[in-house]
Amino acid sequence: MSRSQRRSLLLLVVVALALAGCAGGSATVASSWPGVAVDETTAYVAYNQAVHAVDLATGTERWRFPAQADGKVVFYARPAVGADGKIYVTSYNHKAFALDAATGQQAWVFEQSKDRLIGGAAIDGDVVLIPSGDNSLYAVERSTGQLRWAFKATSALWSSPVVQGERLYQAALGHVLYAVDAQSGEAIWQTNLGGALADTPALLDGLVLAGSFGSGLTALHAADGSVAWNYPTVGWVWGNPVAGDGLAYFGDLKNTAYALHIEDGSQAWKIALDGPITSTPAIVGDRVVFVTEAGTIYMLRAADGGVVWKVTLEAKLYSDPVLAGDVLLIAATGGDTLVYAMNPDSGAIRWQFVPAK
Amino acid sequence: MWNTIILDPMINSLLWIYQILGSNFGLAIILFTILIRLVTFPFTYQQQKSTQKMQEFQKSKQYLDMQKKYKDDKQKQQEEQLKLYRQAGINPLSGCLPTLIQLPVIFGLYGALIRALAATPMPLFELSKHIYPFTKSVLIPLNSHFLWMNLAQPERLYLPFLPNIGIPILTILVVISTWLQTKMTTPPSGDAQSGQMSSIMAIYMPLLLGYFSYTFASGLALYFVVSNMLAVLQFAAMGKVDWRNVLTFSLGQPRRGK
Repeated sequence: MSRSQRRSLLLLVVVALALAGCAGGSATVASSWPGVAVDETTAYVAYNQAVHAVDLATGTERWRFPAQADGKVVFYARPAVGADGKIYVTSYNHKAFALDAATGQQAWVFEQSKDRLIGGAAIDGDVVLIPSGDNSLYAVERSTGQLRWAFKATSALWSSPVVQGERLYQAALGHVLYAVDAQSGEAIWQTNLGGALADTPALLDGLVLAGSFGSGLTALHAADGSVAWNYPTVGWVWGNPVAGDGLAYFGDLKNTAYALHIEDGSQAWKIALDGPITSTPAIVGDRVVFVTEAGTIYMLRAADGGVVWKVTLEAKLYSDPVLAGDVLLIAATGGDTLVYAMNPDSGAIRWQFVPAK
Repeated sequence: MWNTIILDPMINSLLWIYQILGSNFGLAIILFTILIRLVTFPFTYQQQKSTQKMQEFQKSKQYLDMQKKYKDDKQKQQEEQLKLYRQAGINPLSGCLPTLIQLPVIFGLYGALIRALAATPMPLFELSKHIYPFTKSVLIPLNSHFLWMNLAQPERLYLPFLPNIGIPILTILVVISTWLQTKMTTPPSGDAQSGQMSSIMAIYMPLLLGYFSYTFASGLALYFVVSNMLAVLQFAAMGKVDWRNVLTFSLGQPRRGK
């Protein structure tokens, strides 16, 4: 090969690497963050090419699904844990799986989605609800994975529905919140909130609370979808709020944590944190825990937002913190450790789960 | 620095165009590409003029005699070549410099498209960091459907009689248009090395861009096709398209000037 040929090829390689770097679209680059769910003994962590079952007492892996990683199958959404000994997980390759919670063996697979499954599954009696990027919410038989009905929204569904009685509430990325009849899959009402809805709404005292991009936090009357109140925020609200003692707690992408009175949406307190907040905070007794992209876990007093303790990890934190008994689980990205188990009273680390390569 | 000067203005401009075009992201990409071409036109024009000047010089008797004289001593040949360029007032790098200036624009545009078309949570979260406060959040998520395509995903056309086989129409168009653009806008060179380089680029660039079009979001492929077509039109308007060169398939064998 001549010098000029070598030079040309070198130029092409440089351009290719630069463009590939800009794209960040390879299968090995995470396009979301871990999803964590727990039962009495086990944490189920969906991240990248596997769902890991992790012993809550020791932090050791019980099983992973699939046993051999498949580059085309990636998991990020929080698994749904059933009382029937199964967990239900959704994947980016358009499939939803029912797995034996004890062994990780596949019970069934649902393959009718025409797009990515970004939101996690939810359980409603003998039905598993599967939100899809193809704008549909699929209701499938929990025992077999057979389709019972499908509800068609007008935009992609990135979050799990929440069920209350005979209704379910589903947020859509295209700004609309739907109330749907859980038996038939027919829409009851729909309300446009004026901003993208990326997470599951919260149900509190006859209100549906949903955070959105550009419109802050909005409370709707669950009965008819009319707006009860709206609290504007500076940043986009990604994670859904969590409630306790008449207050709703949530964060935004401009580094602020808020507590609002659920009754009228008035502000109880707000506090600036050290990074964007994409997750739903967790209530821990009379405290509330927030995590930030900067890697900091803030344990705040629920009443006034005072800092009880904070710990900064060498990681990025986007996932919802989860309280499992007396252990606080923090899923992390950007390092080797996938899950930190912490003492909720002090922030001391009890164990770390590092997935085997 | 990169984000402040290149990426963020591009992302927000793209969103602004998307808004005024009635939330049609396909049209926004096309108009944005035209605007980028207009902005970079002075550099492209300068590059074409420099290349043409050098290639005309490479056909001169003085240059060809020198090549012949030192054909067995490549180092001496290069030294003499540089000397002749200097005497003729030609800077061999003057053709490259405009290209180098354009590269950040190309990479920035590429990054802007990929981020604006965020189709999964992490890219959407990253997009939130690039949006100016006065850019309306109500635009998010973008309507990524254009004609038969979802611009946020690799494009495949499924025909009724071939329901299981997706035809990558845009990828094919990118390969053809890149090849045409390279061939039509690269005049034949009297210099062996330049000829080889042009021939290699004419083969590998379409394959490289074709691979990206097949693999990444089709919004990028749309940009490639529009950009290639505009390049050909631009050179045609300057009267510099070499239609004969399209039919030349030689690898490393430069066509001699008459």
